[in-house]
Amino acid sequence: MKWRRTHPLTMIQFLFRYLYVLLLPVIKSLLELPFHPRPFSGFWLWELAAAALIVLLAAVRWLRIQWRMEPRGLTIRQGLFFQRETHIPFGRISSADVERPLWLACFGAARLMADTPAKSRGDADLTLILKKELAFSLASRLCRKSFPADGRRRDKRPLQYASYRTGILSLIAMSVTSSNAAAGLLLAVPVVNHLGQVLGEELTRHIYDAVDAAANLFARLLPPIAALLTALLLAGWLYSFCRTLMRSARLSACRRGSLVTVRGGLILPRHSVVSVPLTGAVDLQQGLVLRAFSLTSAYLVCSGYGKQKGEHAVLIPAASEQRMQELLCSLLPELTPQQMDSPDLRPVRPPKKALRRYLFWPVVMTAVSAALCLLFYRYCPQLSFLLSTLVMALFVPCVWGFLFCTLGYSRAQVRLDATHCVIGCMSRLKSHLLLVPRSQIRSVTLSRHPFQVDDDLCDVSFLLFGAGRQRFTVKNLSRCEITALFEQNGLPYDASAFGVSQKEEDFHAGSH
Amino acid sequence: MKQQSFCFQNAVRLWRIRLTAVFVLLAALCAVLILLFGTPALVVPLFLIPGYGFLLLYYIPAYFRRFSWTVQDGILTTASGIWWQKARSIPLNAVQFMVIHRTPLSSWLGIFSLSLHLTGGAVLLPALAGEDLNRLKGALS
Repeated sequence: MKWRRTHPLTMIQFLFRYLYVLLLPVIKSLLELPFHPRPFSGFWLWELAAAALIVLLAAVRWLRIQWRMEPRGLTIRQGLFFQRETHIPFGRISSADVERPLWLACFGAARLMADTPAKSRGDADLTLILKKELAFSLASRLCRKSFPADGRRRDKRPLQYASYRTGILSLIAMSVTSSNAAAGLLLAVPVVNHLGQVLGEELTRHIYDAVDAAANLFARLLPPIAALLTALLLAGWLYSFCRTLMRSARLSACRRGSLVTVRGGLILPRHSVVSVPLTGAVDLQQGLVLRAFSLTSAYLVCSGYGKQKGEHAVLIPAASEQRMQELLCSLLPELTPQQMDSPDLRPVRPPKKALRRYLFWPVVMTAVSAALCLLFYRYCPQLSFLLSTLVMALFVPCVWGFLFCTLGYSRAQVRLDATHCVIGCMSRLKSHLLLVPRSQIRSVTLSRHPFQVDDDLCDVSFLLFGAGRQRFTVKNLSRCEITALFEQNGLPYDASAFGVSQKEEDFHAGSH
Repeated sequence: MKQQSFCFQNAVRLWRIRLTAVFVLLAALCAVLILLFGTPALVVPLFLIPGYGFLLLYYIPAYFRRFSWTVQDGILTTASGIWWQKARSIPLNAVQFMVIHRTPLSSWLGIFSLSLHLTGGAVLLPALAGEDLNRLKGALS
């Protein structure tokens, strides 16, 4: 078992933070020297020395990174003075992504990022830059439970095999609904600035001029500030939409054995391997737009998959409910109850009296908006031409809130049987329907605030393996019904918030 | 399998060396403060020196005296803490991956620290001898 080195381009990864601040200006001045000779100054020599030192340190760091495959797992060694040796056993990796950004693809390299259910918040638990073929083969090997030395399968059961390829319309539907203007702006601005530094300030100026032109166009209909804001949000949304579409284009999923391989991407191809036994749940998400077209998107709740900035943990971008059921039963039968509408899966839904609780915040928002508009009309008569814009800006979100909360109420539920649990809840401005195998539930907690006591309602929070610290909470369920459901199906839960002793069981990661 | 060996003296030596290095840096900083601000800056050494003495002579030896770990029936049990004592039991199959930390100084003394990453967080074993580390690595694999 020989120690191996990563691809030399790993050095570039260490130099990224100094690239635009120091290295590119120094390289630019060196390239210009033959054409624009200038006297050497002390400051310029210091810059050159600093750049040389940084490159030397990056080279030393790269030389100190080594990895090797051992019979039981993968070991990586890195660090100069503070050395770290990371050992990851086979079968602990829940997902492995292979990315090929342009600067790696040009040199036949790829970045392998793998995560375990430990799910560190920052970077992936394992990141290596390797040759393309090695990265792809390592991704599959790491996710397998065991890897016999001779490479032959021991298990004689037939391999599970299924595949799915997405169409362009469902990709567009997913990209439209999952694009976020604010996130788009946050991602777009550094890219535009860096492009300017590399390709010249002219390009940056052209891009900003285009946004100004759009703002001027909107100014014919809207006041100037609103026009500029609209132009910026539209630019951000457009960037996010194009990015999501390009990252998910030609998306396909293939199931082989215990691994699901998801491939996609137009200019920046992506290859992800997900371990089915370590996947927490399938998350069927639906916003108002998808609901209008009776479509749903399927995402995977799996540690590491879709973790990178701007990425989505998507499996099936958009499909009708029936088609979604068929695809999930073929790709992930372990995670999908065979009949979601079966009478065995008796649902507990919020009672009718809970609807007012779901609509509470939209009602408050509407009342506050109305009050603001009245105050504006009363005390700022000279700005009355802005009133219609203000009304639209305040009441459109209120209407959206009403529709969204009604959707959330209709989808809120908990279904339970011997092997599966179906959880319907709202989170992050989307409605979620989670299909969870019972073994993947880490803990269940019941809680209630004082305003729920009279109606005997409670909130139920689920912690799942692979979801890290994210809780999925179903609000305003009847306490009697939900506790009866859990006790009938033998699911332990924590209701210590009620001050009544309840049966508890420690789910901890020990079951994995 | 039960592991009881623990390199007490080298671990204490290592942490005393680290503490002394930090103390020397802070002492240099104090000297600069005294040169700049004169007598009022003498307050800082009044806290620094007793603090250094307390950590060097009492806290570090007491901490490693109270720290222990065993592996039995697939469960790793650790005990630590001087005044607030804590015991943890971790099933070995709950460990997702492990990271061994070493520096040139700790390698010279034969002491390594190990962090075990679980789904709920991480557990640190601050000082292990080389043999113990290999045995624990084998048990975790």
